Parts: sequence; C-alpha cells; structure tokens
Amino acid sequence: MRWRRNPRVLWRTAPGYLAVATVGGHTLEVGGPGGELWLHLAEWITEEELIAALARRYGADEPSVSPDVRSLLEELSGQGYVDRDG
Amino acid sequence: MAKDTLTGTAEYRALVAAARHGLGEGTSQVTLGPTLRDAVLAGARFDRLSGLLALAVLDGAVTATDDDLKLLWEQWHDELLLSVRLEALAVRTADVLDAGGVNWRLTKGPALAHLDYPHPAARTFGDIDLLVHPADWSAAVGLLSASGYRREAPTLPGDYDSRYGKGTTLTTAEGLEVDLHRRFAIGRFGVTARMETVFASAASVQLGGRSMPVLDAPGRLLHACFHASLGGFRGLRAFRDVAQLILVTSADWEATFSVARSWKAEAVVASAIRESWDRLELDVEHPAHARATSTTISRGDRRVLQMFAREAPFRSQALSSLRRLPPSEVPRYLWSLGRRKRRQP
Repeated sequence: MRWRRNPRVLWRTAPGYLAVATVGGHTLEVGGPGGELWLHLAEWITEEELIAALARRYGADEPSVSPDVRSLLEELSGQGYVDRDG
Repeated sequence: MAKDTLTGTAEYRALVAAARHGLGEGTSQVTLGPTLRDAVLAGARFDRLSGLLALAVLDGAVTATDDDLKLLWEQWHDELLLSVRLEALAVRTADVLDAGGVNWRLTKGPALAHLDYPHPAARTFGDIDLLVHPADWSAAVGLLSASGYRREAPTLPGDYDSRYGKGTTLTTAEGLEVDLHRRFAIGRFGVTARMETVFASAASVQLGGRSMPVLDAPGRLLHACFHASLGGFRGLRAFRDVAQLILVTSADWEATFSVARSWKAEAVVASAIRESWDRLELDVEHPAHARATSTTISRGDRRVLQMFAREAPFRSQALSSLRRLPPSEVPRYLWSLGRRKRRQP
C-alpha cells in the first residue's frame, strides 16, 4: 500500500507538530512524529518505506513504530488528509 | 530588557533578536527570562513573531527555560493552526472571485510565508490579504458579500471607498478576516497610486491544490514598505518583511523604487528600508539601504510619514491627500469625507 498527502490539504509542520486543514475548513493537529511523517508524504511512499524512515529517524525498531504509523495514516486517510493507493 | 525605538515604543531584546534572526551577523545571546516572559510572548503573539522567536530559540539565539518553551510552543502551534485555517479560507475566497471574473492578487501573510521565508511556519499571520484590481473593486465586494462575508465597517457614502479608500475588512461566519485592499494606503501616498501597475505581472503559490496569483517580488516589497511606513501597527515583523524581501528573496528593489517614484511615494519605500535597518539593528551593507539613506525626503513627505507613524486619526490621514489631488477633485474629496464624518456616532 502507498500513501501521499492529499494535494488539496493546507498544512504546517514544526518540530513535533503538524497542523492540517481541508479547503472546507476542517482541521486536525497532530503532535509527536506527525510532522516528520507528513514530510515523507510529499510523494507516494509505501507503508514499509515510511515505517523504516521513521524508525531510523527516531532510533527505534520498526515493529515498535509500525502500529503508531499505521494508526495515524488511517486517521489522516479517514478525514481526507492523505491519499491511499492499493 | 526593553529598548526605546524611533517611535517611542518599547521593544524587547528577545523580540528584536527574533525579528532579525537569520539576517546579517548574529548578536549576543538573549535570554527570554521569567520577568519579561509574558510581555515578550504577548508582543510576539500580537506582532505574529512567534514563529521567528521559536526558530531563534531552536537555533540558540534566544535561550528560554522549559516552562517558557512550553508556552512559546503552544502559542506558535496556535498561530500555525490559524494559518492553515486562513489559507483554506483564501482558497475558498479565490474560487468565489475567480468565478466572478475578478482580477486579484494574494499578498502579505501567506504569499510571504511561502515565497519569501525559508520555512512557511516562520511567518504566521492573522488574516488574509487580497489586492483587487481597481476595475473589479465593486464586483469583488458584491460577490463576497453575497457569499456570506460580512463587512465590518459600513459602506461609506458616495464613492470614497472606490475612489480614494484603502479597502475593507470582511469577516466570515467563523470569525476569520479577509482584508480586501483597493490600494496600499489612504492619504498623500495612496491617492497617487496607480494600482493597475502592480497587476502587470504576477507570481504564484500553490495552495489547496490550486494556483493562487500573488504580487511579484517587487510588488510584495512595495506593499511591505507601505505597511511598514504607513500601516496601523508598525511592529517589528513589518520591518522584517521588508528586510527579508531585500536580503533573502533578493527582490528587484530598484523596480520597487521605480513604481514608488511614479506614485510620488519614493519616501515611503526609502523610509521603510531605513527604519528596517534601524529597528532590526542590521549591520548589512546593501545597495537598497544605500539608496534609501541617500533619498531626500521632503519636509511635506516627512510630516505625513510621522503622522502615520503616530497613528493619527483617520480624518487627519485622509486630509493629507489634499495637496496631491487635482484641484478640481478637492471639493468632491472633502464632500466624501464630510459625509463620512456625519455618519459616525
């Protein structure tokens, strides 16, 4: 499965922070690794690549990062902030 | 510690350090400190300097305790959330104006954040600014009013707004503001502006999956100078915008001076650049600054600049137009102003 940002979403990142908005005005704030995850979603990226990149970034092993990443992607996808392919 | 400025208001060292961070040589490290923390954070919030202050802290130019940082981070995040809400509003507003065939440009906040600052999160903002082509002014106001945007100030009688006004603020049902600009200023330096000039070219930013037309770099610098010299609140961020466009964007400042000269507003640009260097304590040599310091500002221009700097009442600012209007237009102008006065409580 691949993921990327919905190009219609407005966003800002700061260390440990992500703010996103739809054109319609719905918003979501994400703390922790949300901003880092978002920066990897500029182009289509597989879930495995994303998990590996964030595990490297935070010095953690992939199995411990994976549940949080999948959960966040599902939340962002459910509200239309990211696109899913596959 | 606070520092007195040319206009007599106190500026805090931490805010000056934030506003100049990344421009020129670094200064000695500044500590946010518990005594002034609340005042500095309030100043940063009011002047939309939280992003630059946060970056100055991250880079070590300003030091702060963990408690101070927590407050600053919360404030920055609030401003970032507002920024994306406002950008969403900008996209919706653009769709309305485009559907009505209005010629417009995005300017100030989001335009500068995306095009002129290395990181959009550095430049937060509290409203959306759109410049409307003079030929489309009435259509733009009508379209947005019909779409539910509410005009805060009453429409002025006669044609003051469209002929001489700076613009109007529109508010959405969710309380967000769109500043719709007809020109960059009222008064002596506004009535001689031929706003069509800045529509001759455009840059663009991608927002919400669509292209948004933006003033080109010399136009953005011109607007930044007008705001820094004549805006209602001339805080450090306004001067940072001017310096940012010159030193980082490398905007064609000679083109900016050229348009300003054709509008008889060269003093506005020269004064804004001079004051940017002064208030940000910049020690950078730059030909734009040399040009600004060598520009002769007439006594009349200086008097009007000082009047705007001390935020004189609207009527005084508006009356500064009289010497710049064609004699045949003066009675009509005074009539418009007089009618405006009678409507006020």
